[in-house]
Amino acid sequence: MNAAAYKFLPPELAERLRGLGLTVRRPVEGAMQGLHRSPHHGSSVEFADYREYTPGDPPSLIDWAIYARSDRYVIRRYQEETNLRAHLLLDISESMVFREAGRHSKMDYACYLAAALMLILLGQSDSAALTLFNEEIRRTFPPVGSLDGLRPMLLALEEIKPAGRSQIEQALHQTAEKIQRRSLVILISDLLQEPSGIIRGIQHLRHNKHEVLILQPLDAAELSLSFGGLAELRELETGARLPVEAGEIREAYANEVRKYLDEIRRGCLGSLADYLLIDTRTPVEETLHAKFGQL
Amino acid sequence: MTGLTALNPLFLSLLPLAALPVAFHFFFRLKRQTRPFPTLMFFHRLDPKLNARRRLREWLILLLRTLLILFLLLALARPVWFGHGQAGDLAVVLLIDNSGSMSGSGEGGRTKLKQALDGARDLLAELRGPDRAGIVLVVPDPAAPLPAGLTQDKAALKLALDGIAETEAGGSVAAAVDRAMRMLDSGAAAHREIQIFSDLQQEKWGQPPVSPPAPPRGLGLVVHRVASPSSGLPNVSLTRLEMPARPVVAGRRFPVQVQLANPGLGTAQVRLNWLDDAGNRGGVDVTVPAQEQSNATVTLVAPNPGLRWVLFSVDGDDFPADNRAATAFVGVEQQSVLFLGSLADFGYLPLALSPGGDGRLSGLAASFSSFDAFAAGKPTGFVVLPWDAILQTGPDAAARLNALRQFLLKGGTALLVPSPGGQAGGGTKPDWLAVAPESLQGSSNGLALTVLDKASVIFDDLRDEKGEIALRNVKVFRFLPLRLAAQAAPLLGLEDGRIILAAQNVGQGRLLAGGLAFDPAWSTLPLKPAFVALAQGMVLNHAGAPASITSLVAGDPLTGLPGGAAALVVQSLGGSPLDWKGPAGQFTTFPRVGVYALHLGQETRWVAVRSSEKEGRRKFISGDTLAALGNLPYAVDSLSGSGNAPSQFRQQERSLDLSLPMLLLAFACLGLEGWLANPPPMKPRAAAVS
Repeated sequence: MNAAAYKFLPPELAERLRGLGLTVRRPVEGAMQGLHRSPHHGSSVEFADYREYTPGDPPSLIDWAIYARSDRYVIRRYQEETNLRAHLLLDISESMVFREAGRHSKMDYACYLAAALMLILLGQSDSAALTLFNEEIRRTFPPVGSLDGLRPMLLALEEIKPAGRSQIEQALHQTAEKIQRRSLVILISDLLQEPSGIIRGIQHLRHNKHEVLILQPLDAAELSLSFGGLAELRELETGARLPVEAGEIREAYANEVRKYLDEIRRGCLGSLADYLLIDTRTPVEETLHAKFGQL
Repeated sequence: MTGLTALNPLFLSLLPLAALPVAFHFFFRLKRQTRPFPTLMFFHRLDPKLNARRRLREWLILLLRTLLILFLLLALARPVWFGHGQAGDLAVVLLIDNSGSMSGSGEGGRTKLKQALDGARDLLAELRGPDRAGIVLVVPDPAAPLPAGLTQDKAALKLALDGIAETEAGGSVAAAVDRAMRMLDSGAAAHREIQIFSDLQQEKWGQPPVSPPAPPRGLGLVVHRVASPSSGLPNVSLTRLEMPARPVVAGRRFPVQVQLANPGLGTAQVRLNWLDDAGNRGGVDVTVPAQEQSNATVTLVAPNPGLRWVLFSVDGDDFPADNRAATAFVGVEQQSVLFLGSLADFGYLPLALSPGGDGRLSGLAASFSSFDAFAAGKPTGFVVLPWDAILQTGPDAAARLNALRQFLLKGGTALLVPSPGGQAGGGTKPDWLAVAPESLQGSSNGLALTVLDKASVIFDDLRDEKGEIALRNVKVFRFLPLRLAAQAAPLLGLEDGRIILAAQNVGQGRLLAGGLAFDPAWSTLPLKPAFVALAQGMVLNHAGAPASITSLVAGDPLTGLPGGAAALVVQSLGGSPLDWKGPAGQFTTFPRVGVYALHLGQETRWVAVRSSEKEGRRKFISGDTLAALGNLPYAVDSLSGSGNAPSQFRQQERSLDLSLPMLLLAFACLGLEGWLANPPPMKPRAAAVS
């Protein structure tokens, strides 16, 4: 694959991602042998436990040393290792177009993140799928395990035009129902919705045994009001307008944002989902190194 | 005057400015830029009614800003609620209209001025101890003993009212009100009033002031209307007196043109009377048609030389204050005309100047003498001599010329004419003589005579009503054309441009040089009536400098007086008496008809005053709008004699100045607006218990 051809995966970024690895804490089901634990026992080198021999088992699996000491036929079991299947859910609602303090708009930042994660996954022989959503799921790319298979997804990222309102909870529920095998679900979104619905979606995924990773890119100007005086704000997704006096409301606003983020963080923690708040002023590779470099 | 009044009504016209905040609000709302923002969720979580609260606050701020400007403008407009509030010390000016129109009959047969003075006395009686009052007249009257400024001395004020008399003058309401306000400004009373008593004649009260005065703070103005009953009798005004243009010679009869006007609807039969300074009197009956003018000619005689005056008056009409006029003039002594030569040398000129020879008919006495006697004596007056007398050659020619020159240098006037039977020429013209005759020339058909200097005084007696000189159809058959140097000015000429009469100033004297003998063989001029007027005009219009006599309409300002402290003495010579002495800058005007001498140091001037014909116009304002008061707040009530003026006066004392409450309200709006526009930062919500 010629990385230079892709907007969101420039060669310098691809170079800096070398050495990064992504793994999961719980077993996942893969089609091929890989780095990650499988819920199935197989013939790997990692010991799991013992069980009684039953007719039909291959005699080569019998632990003859145990038989010599106890006169019992015991079969030694090993942990099967499989590859990871990751599903990336990318929010393409209109609020993602906002940019004020960051290097990129939230949408571009999310695209950089998605491209980088897919490259990392394929680099460690895992497979990656991509889903774009706003009010509903707009586009889905099935899992691919090769760099050639990544190409359509990278091109699709370049074609994204943020629009519409996001329905994150609905997207999470649909994804949970759609994915059959235990997988890693990565949600990249600004999560500008009531946290309770988002948490319900995450819990649905977790209930279906999926690993969940939440990446929330936000512009610093959203975290605290960067302007002063009287201004009329227009909500990107709905067009609703609200005149506000920034000086009068600045502190209360920042406090409200903090409470919201705490709510999201606690919901993820309670659902055993991994969560990362990202400031779009931070370079993409730094974010990835900080998150995945230590794994 | 009760009710709400704005002392500075100009600011009321600015009240629409109170809409400026609304205009700015909508303007800036259109201009306000919107900021795209990812979500308003946090604002709604913070306060679901944030938008509604903000809108409510914006409208409240807008309302307060509008009210702020409104109250501020109202405060500047100085609203006063008369008839309410506290009564304080009072300063009042009684402004009495003593103009000629107030001389007319009012109710009960008394003059309107008498009624006005009674009303003023009633008001004066209402004054309390600390109150002060002053008196201002519409027509300043030097004869009225008015106190200077405001005073608490009621006795002096009553005495002053008693001394106010009818005038025959017009006056300025605006100037009188200005004087009254300046008088009030000198005091520091809480309540200040101007009480005006007038018949509200349209002529004076219907004209807006040239520079409207700004109403001072706390000033109340009440106009007491003195009723003017209608009269069926006609009124005739004496509108103009016209004296002869040339000096009046003592002992000689002269005509005076008197113009009478009748603005009424009926024909007036009046008698025009006259009385001169010598006690001579007379009169003529004059009929003046309705709404027309009539001229009457009165023939008078000045018995002696010196300042003379005549008083004219009209009897038989309804209104007296526009019926009188005075005129003054200086009668000159009988003039002597000395002819140097024989009677035959001057043609018809001696007869034209002095028909009887003794001056009884024309005021000019003719005598004949020789040039030698003229040169030897000390002649005065007017000298006529032929050209031949000075252009003769011989041993004594230079002496003759020198004698003539000395006569002229000392102020004499001479006329050089050709002899009807002789010819000028032969001699040598001296350098000082700017006129020289050429040889005798003629025209069998005659050349028309033309006036070359129409402004010259020698033609004044020949002018008609339009000022045109009536010297037409005069043909000249023989003449000596004159050559002029730069010092000489042409007076008469021929149709072809040649000059036949010119004048030259020599020292203090004047030389007239003619190229035309006054003989029918030379021209038709001696046969024309204009000849006598022209001949006498040449002599009399050089009879000395006119006296300094000014004609005035009563009430008009006297111009030309030195201002400041130069001592002026006004002495009454005839007519209404007025004797005044003081600084010239303080003398105001002559309110009545008469002749007065004004002594300013060594200089003496004379003033003849006639009544103002405008005062006889019978249009009075019946409504409550008085243009002459401009923007001043005022109220008009009727002085009916029922004593309502004092009650109004007492009520007038009380007034409530609403400026301060308006100002406080404006400050309150300002404070509230500041509080609403700068709210404290919103407090964060308490964290939810998890």
